[in-house]
Amino acid sequence: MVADIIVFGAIWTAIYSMIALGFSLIFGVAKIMNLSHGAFFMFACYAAYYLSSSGLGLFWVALGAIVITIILAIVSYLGIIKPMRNSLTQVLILTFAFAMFLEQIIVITFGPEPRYVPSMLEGGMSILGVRVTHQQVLAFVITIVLILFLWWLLSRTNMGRIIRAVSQDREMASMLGINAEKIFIFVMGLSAAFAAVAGLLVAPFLTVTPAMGWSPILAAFTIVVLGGLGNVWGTLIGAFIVAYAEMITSYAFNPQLKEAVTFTIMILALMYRPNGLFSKGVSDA
Amino acid sequence: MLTITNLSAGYGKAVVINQLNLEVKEGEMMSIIGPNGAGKTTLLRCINGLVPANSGDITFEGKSIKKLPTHKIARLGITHCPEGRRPFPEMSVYENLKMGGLQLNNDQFNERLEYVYSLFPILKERKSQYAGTMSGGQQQMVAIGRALMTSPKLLILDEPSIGLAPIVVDEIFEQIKIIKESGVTILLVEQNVDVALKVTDKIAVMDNGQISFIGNPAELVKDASLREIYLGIG
Ligand SMILES: Nc1ncnc2c1ncn2[C@@H]1O[C@H](COP(=O)(O)OP(=O)(O)O)[C@@H](O)[C@H]1O
Ligand SMILES: [Mg+2]
Repeated sequence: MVADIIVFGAIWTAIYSMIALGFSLIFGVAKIMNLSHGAFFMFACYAAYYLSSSGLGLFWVALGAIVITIILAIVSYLGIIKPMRNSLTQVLILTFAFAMFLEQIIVITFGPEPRYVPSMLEGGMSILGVRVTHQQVLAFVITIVLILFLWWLLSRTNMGRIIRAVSQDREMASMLGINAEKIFIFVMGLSAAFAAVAGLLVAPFLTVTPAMGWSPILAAFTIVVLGGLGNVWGTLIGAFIVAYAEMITSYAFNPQLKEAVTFTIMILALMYRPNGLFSKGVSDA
Repeated sequence: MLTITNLSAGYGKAVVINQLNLEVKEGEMMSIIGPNGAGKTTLLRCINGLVPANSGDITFEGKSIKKLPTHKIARLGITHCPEGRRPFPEMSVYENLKMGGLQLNNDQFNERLEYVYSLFPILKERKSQYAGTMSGGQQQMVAIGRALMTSPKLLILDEPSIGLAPIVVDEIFEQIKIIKESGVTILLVEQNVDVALKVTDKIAVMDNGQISFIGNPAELVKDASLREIYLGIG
């Protein structure tokens, strides 16, 4: 049981990090609290389901699902979020409504019953004596690679520096000729791409349902409350805490309780550490 | 180069800039002085498109910039080094300078960087330090250096001396003088009148959202009432 907790805790730390980083990044840069982030994750799973059932190869399924999700995110940003961006409350309500809307569209199109997405890799292996599928290992490896990519982007490239500059002082950045609006669109797309990749990787070992986005958004929300919104390292630590708390609950007590535990962590964090364990602002350190 | 005509602006119903006229000629250094709350910062923010103009016009090199977004105004060659300095605190000195030089190619960037380092050698020494952890004077150097990285045609400085020790103020104004002599047009807002008078070509007094006096430093000193208010000599 301890080995199960260690292995699956690590896998879910990576996956939750991916989802929460996207959520945290767009907040850190544009101060957008995007409650439809989980719906993007769900949407990517359905896009993968639809594309793979129409017989496309793995590469095209992945690329197609990611691109469609990015387009959806940018359209929703330009159409509904941008006009309301100055009000945090309106953005919260609108993105919540948009998530419900997407869920309904999916129910109407694909029906409420669960769908299954084929694995990218077949078979499995044993780690610390725990049986894991190759798909789970793949999810872990790719998320680690993408988190490193994000770190490299933010700390080592001009685009990353511009993103951090906009996050630290948007007005000052614009006085240097930076078009913050373009950066918001880029980060919105990047954030959605992270949700989409997470969706693609985990869809084969989850059941794909129209409501599947709510559980990850709850986890992401708790993670960023713990880690501080917009803080990359804080997000990783938050993901570690939430993933292991859920795995300990699932294996030592009852899998049904795992979301209750996440809620409890969120409430405790909001009560005792409302600004997270660290500071805010997108930073590379 | 910069012409402001009958400009009015404010916040909601509060009128802060009231039918203001001002011209800054190419190669010239203009300093605006005036009491706290006169609207000096608001005027500068208006030039940058950060505060919308209610009426009147602002033209730069003959073209109206009144309706342009801030980043486009910046790309025309107007760089604002704002009140409070505002370095990107969680970025290194070098990265801050990099944010000023985004429109330059590699060679231009390196050349410009050497120029900024020659004006403020401390920035080279501290290039890896986070700007937020530096002293006020050093942060001001980061802010001016970052603004210079854009190769501005018009450099706008809002109270660069504020909160700094006199010796640091002198040091920074020596560099401002060198920048001016290199041909950059400068619009300075400064409460430290003595130090501004030493470098500026022209001086304007702003009061209640209008320019109440404009002339060269000698003319200001000659005017008995202004001399008393701004220089404290009866
Ligand atoms: N963001 C703002 N919202 C409302 N009023 C403001 C704002 N900024 C400045 N003011 C008001 O505008 C007037 C001029 O301020 P400011 O331009 O900062 O003057 P100065 O730079 O000459 O000290 C002051 O009365 C100030 O209270
Ligand atoms: Mg001011």
